[in-house]
Formats: sequence, structure tokens, C-alpha cells
Amino acid sequence: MNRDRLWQQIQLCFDARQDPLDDETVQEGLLAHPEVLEELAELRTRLITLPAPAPRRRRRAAAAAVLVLLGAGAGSYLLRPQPLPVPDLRQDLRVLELRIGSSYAEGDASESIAIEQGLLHVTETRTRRQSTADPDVHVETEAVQSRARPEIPAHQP
Amino acid sequence: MLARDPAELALPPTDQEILALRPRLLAFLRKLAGAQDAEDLCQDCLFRALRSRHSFDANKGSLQNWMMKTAFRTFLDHKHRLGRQPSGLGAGDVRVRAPREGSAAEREELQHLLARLSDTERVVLIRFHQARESIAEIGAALGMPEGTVKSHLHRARRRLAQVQEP
Repeated sequence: MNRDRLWQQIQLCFDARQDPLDDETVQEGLLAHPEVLEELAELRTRLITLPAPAPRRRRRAAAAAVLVLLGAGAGSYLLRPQPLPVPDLRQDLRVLELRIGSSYAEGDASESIAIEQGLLHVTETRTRRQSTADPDVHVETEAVQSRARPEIPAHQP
Repeated sequence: MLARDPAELALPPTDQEILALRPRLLAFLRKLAGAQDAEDLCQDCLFRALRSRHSFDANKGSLQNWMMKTAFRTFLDHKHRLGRQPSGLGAGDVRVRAPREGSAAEREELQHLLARLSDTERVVLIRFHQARESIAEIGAALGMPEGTVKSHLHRARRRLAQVQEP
């Protein structure tokens, strides 16, 4: 086996992903051409020390796709439609004002006005209580007036 | 290397001539067997060489080559003794062995050698041995026939096999 034939056999082993030193033909060739021994030893070592390959185009494309998706996700999160402010029902339905007035122009009488402010309506309730000549009989009248709210105040969280 | 006078060609090598080759033998055996076994193998090799120095024939080759052959036989015997355990390369695959870091000097030397390859040779070499792509895959990726891929690969290996003289 000449030197070129030996190298050809070594290349075949590497192509087949086999260690040339396990190949008996190569072993015999190396003993016949010991000057190749150091070269092969260097080559084996260097092949094991090869640096990692540069990122391949497919990997770069996949990485870019992931970045685009991440960006789109972050964008859609930031730009998502903000929910309309939810009014605090307890606050908006509370009695805003209660006035109690009294007069005695017609004997024993009293009157009260209650205003409730709801989501859509403002309700005003007027209650009048009068006493009759019979001290145990009282007359009570109530008038309820409701009107649409002029506007919904902005909700302050 | 120690040059021999023609008159001394018939004489067996001296202890000094044999031992002068120890660093080179040790470096060679480190690459074959790894640092852990190299020292023992080197001692074994030197012992064999000193014992059989009378069989050395300067007309058939240099003392260095004779010593390298002795070292290689020592390595093969060691491999055989291990009961054909994986030679450190797994199932015969150079890339099965964990990637080796190498010393800074080795890495620098490798970078220097890689830089001297053509772009195609370098890409083919790294794709085959590092990324473990097949010849067919590399050919398809680079748009070249498999035979051409092999040519680039073989040329790259030969260039990577250059021995830097100490």
C-alpha cells in the first residue's frame, strides 16, 4: 500500500464516520508509512476540536420567526382594547342627598325628599305625612319622580 | 533531530538519541490515547525501544519513524489489552467523542489552519464533522454533487493534517 492509497483508506473511514485507527488496513498502512502517523494523530485531534458551526439559515429563520411572534404578542398585549371603565354600582346608586323638611302650617305635617342617583336615572321621592283630627290616623302621600341622568360621570378607580 | 554520521549507521541508536525523542512521542501518544494513558504508554514505548534498539536499521528509515512505529505498536497493544473497548471515539465515530476543548495553543493553531482553507472546504468540513450532516445533506444544502462535496472534504482533511514542527 502506497501513501496515497493509505490516505484514501483513511478518508473512506472518516466518510463512514469510523475511526481509521480501528481499521486493520489503515493500521498496516501506518506501520508501513510511519511518517503518516503524526499527521493522522493531528487530524483526529483537530476534527474533535473543531469549533461549533455557524448558525444555519434555517435556525436563523426560526429564531427570527420566534422574535416576530414575541414582538407581535407583546404589541397586541400593549395595544389590546382597554375595557370601558366599570362604574362602581355601590357608589353610583348611593343616596346623594337627603333633605328632611317639616312644616306645621296645617297642623301636624311633615315632608321628606330623597334623591337616589342610579346608573341611568335620578329618582326623587317626596313623602308627605299629615295628621288628621284623629290622633291615631295619619295620611301619607308619596310622589316619585324619575328622570334620565344627563351623563354618566367618568369612573375614577 | 539528531543526525547520524554515515559511519554510525550500522550502530544501534544510543540512549540519548532514543530519549531525545521522548517529548515528540509523548505528544503523539497523548493525541492517540489521551493524556491519562499517554505517560505510561510513553514509558512502555521507550523501554521497548531501548530493549530492541539493535533491530533498528538506519537504511530503512529514520530513527524518528522507527520510534513512531514502536509507539504506535505500543498503542495498538494497549488498545487490544483494553479488550477493544471504545478507543475514545465511541462506535468508531470521531464525533461520538465529546467535543474536545483543546489548549489555547491548539485552538489557535486550528483556527490558523481553518483560515487557510477555502470557504467551501471549511463549511463542508465543519458541517460534516461538527454538525454531523451527511454528504448528501451537505450537497443538497450547497447545491453541489456528492462527489464534489467529498473532494472538498478530503482536501480539507489533508490540509488539517499538517504537522507543525515543534
